[in-house]
Amino acid sequence: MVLLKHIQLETLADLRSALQMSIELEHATIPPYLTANFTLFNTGNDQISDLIGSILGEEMLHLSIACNVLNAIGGKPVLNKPGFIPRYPGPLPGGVETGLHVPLEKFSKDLVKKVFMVIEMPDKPIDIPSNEKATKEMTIGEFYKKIQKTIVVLETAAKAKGQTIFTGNQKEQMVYERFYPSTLLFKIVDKDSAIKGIDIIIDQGEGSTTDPFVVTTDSGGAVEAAHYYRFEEIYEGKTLLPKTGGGYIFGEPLIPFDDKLIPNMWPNPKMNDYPKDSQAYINSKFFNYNYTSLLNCLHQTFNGKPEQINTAMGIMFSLRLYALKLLAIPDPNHPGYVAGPSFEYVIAE
Amino acid sequence: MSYLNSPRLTFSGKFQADPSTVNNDPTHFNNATFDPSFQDYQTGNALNGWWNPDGTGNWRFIGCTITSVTYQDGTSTNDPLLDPIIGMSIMDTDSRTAGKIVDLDSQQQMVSELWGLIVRIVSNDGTTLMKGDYEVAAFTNIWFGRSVDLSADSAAAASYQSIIKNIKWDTGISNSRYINELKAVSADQLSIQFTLDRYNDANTDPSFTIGRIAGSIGPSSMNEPKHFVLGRQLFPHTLPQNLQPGQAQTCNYAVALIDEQLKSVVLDFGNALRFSTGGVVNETRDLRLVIDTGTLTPAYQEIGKLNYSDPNWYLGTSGIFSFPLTDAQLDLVANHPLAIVKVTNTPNNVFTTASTITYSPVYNESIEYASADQFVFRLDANDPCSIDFYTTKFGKGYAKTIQFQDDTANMFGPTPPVVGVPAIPFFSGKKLAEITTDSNGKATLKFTAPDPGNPRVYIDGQVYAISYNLSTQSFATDCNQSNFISLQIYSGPSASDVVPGWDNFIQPIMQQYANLYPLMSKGIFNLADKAVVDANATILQLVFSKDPTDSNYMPATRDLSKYRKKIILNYLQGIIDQG
Repeated sequence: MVLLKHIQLETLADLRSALQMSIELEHATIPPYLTANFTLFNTGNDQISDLIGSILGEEMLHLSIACNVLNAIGGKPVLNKPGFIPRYPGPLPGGVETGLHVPLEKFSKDLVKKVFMVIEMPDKPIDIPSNEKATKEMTIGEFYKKIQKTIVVLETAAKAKGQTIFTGNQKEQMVYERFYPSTLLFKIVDKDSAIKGIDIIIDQGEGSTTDPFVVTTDSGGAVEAAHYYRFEEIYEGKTLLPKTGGGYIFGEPLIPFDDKLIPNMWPNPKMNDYPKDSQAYINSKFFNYNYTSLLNCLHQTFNGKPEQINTAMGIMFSLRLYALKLLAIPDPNHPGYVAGPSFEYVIAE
Repeated sequence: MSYLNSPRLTFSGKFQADPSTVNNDPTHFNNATFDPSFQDYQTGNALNGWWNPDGTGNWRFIGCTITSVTYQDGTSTNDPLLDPIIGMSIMDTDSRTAGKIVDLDSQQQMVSELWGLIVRIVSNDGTTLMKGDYEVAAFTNIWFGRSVDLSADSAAAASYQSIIKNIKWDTGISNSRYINELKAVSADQLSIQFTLDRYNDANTDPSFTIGRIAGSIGPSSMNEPKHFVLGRQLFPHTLPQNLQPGQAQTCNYAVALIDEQLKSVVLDFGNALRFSTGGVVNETRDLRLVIDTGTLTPAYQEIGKLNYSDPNWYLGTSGIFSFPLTDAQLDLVANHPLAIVKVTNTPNNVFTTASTITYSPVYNESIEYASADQFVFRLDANDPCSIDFYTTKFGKGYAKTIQFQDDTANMFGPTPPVVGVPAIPFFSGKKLAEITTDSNGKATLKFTAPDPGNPRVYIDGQVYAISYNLSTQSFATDCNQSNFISLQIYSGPSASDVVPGWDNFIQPIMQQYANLYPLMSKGIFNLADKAVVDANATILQLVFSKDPTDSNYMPATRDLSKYRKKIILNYLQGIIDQG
């Protein structure tokens, strides 16, 4: 389980900061999941790749929801600043230094077990004391529940004065029915829609404490395993099934993993570790420039130009091409290994 | 106004061109004979998929910086302390996919166009001062003898000229005199030109897909051509097509502009000289820009020496020279041609310092000149086509007749498949097609593209080369061989009653894309697989229906006919509707 540092959450400004942190947190899972998924490409592990891909799509959804909520309360999401991408390996944004350090690595079951499942691990039922100490650490689930609670408190107080905290321009929010049904990505207009949006983030990530399957809000009855359990399916190599008579069991269909064709990517690559006159460096720079362009494009998307999401989709595809190029280039510093994507903020080509 | 007017800036650096090369061999379009080895890199004895089968199609500026500016009053600087724009960057997009470099056709690869390119001027802190869309343009004036130390494509150079439009300025309170002048003079549209050379096509080299670029940006007016300068056209003394076998081309086409207000002549020599190892100029001749007075004495009135010997000359100036003209020269040059001559100073004998100066011509002005503006067209069957032409004499518009002929057989290939048939009726009558320009030297050629049917069988549509010349000239012997029209005309619906569906119509088209663009088919979507296409119908519909000038448009090769696109989009809509 990832533990986040305690944050102050009382004022509207605190709430906006917390939502900005949640955007950074949701984003921070994308590079490690994406890197693992790039290394699965064309290796005969499509089942695993599709599962990770479905999780990635939902992380992107969570980021979008967080941006919409921040927009709704009059905030301005920032996605294109140099520190937006965390350093890998390192703690997740807001995470405690002594906690999990998340790397960029090729796919392995070990990575799934030791990192991805830890990121997505649900809260255990815990006693929440009535007087929180200032230094108390939070789980990601607690963090989101705290945001919800603050929204309720601040909006109730605002309403009492005939005001509202939902003062943002709704046209700046992004909905994208082409890819996300309106039951999952919708405009945040009031307290209820904000709570509902954040519920989707919590539920898809962690599931409930008793049921690994999530019927996401109004999803028309379709169920899917929460992220933690989807990663567990990959780790177990089996599908999670409800047991007759209650409970759950891993069974068929099997989810086999074949590591033969996985490119042997040196972990946590860094652009500047490559010699400047190497193909690894040049393609790393192209990858990073594209990733930075993607963040610029998403920044525009969530700051008044929601239609830019279409352009962002195009960059996501070209990113994959650069990643695949990198994974085919020998790492100049590490014989026997290949280069890989480093997800660094680069503004000059 | 164009990039040769002021206020003008020069820039230089590197570029990346990353085209996929599986489609360089037209027979690779034939699905029936396509072999998986055509997707491999070429080896010593096998061409396979040529030198870059994994190309993305991307075209980018890399590390390009502004090297000099010339203000409206004609003064210049290359000192960042005098104008902070010196050293700033010329960049492409920072928030979408890169622009694409695209051949017109496998059988006409000599007019590659740039699609979806964005041009920005970026300050050293990353602020975009100017951002605009590069209007689609093809290269011209390609020559393969540019770099004598290199071979094949690496030895070549070619130039692009176009405009930047849809401009957004964010100059704020810029303390750059240059950017403020540029915006004041030409806020809506800019002219941009650059020459590409020394391209690296060795796939194991760190600089693979990267080459050298030097260019210029300046003001632009709406009523002037976008893709060439209405100026003084300087032709090598012996035209490249008239060289003897084995005789090297030592220089290439150039253009000069007489700026009457500034009383100066500006010469673009960017794609003119040869280069050698390390990118240094491979030239020793003492070259002078002169007015060729013909019968007067002296025959050549010297304007100035072309001082190209400074090691930073090319990258520092992009090869642009500027010389003042006296009032007398300004009068003289209005009705006498420019020329570039080699000066030889021969001592008369060993006993005296007296010497004899002899001049030998290196460039002559093509006094009368005809040029199309846009010269590459992608048409669908029955599309109307309009091509703007200009005729000039001493760089000024004048009325003249231009004649056209179908020159496909001389220009395009390799074959098979067959090119240029069936002929376009408009260009194949008994009498040559012709137009006469008005007194401003302007005329528009209009014709309707016929439906070529399916003469190439496995490549859609047909390509045509239409050459042109003034009625007093011959294209073959008098004209720049790059100045002709390249037409791609896609086929319309076939006459058959078969309802086009996945198996009988779409799959073969998608199979061809999957064959020819392995990076896309292996890295993103295998379009040949119905299950993949159906599963991604939404995103495919999005990219196939974009405007072709959008860098995200699919197919990146911009070679899908209106008819085929409609069938594919209908199919995708059907899949989407089924949920």
